[in-house]
Amino acid sequence: MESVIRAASVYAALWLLFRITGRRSMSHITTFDFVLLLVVGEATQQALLGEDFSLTNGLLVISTLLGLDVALRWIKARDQRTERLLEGLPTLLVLDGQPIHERLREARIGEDEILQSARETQGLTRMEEIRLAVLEVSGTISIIPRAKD
Amino acid sequence: MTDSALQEASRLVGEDLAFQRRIWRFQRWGWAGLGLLVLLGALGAFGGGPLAEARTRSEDGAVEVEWERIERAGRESTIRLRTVAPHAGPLLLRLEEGFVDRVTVSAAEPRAAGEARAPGLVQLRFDPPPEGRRAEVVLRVHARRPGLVTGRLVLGESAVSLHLVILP
Repeated sequence: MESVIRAASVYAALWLLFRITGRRSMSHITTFDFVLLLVVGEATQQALLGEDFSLTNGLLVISTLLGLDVALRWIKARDQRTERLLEGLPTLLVLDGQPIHERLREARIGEDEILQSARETQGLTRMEEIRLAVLEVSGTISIIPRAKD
Repeated sequence: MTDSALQEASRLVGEDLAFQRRIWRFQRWGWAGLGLLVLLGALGAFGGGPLAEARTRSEDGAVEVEWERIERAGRESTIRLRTVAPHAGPLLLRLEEGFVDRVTVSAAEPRAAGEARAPGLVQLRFDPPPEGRRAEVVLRVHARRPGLVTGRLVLGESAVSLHLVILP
């Protein structure tokens, strides 16, 4: 019982903390972000397991975490409002080569990050070449190039 | 970039800016909350800092006690008992109520010369302090489970009731 409560509490707390810190996709994390994630995992371990390092407890905690994740995905797939609330919505950042500065500021995205995504995904080097740049719920920036004349 | 073009693009990507702005606002409040949490943690609101430290005296004023009133389950903290006046003779310390069933004493300084246990009671006997010196006992304790713990410490004839908030 205690293991399940511990795992559920840690799951909820981590979800809330990562929701507060904002979107950032795995493809855009820096080496430091990665190290930070490892440290978070290490710090979480003790809270998850307590003083019980048995195989049974470990499996119970893992099952609880994965079970919660599956349940949450199931709910999100069936209820659009919950999905919006839990995942957020895409945000338009650039339209017809012009960055929408207000949204960039609110989303804490720099023009350099958009250009990086443009280079990586479309081979574009200038803002004017971008028709749409969208911050997706996964944290990636989708780039749709302008049609060439 | 015209407003109609922006609206059309917004519709195309499934954007709801008003909703997204509520999420961003929630995030900003969350950052403030995180900052506050870190600040409170540094000050000891969750144990291990000035806000958690407490001091009291026994009802007869003969013994003063310093302890951490906010503690975390499994974390070790200290309870320091000190006689106000020099003490002669052996010293008996009795732990009662919550200090027996909710808290574990992992060590005592000086080391107890003897220990007796009964249901709801632990009694530690210490050698007399050097002549003309005040007696001091430091208990290293850790709580097993979260919750509120009320326990009684009796040093000689002086009793002190302590309250501890044990966080998970």
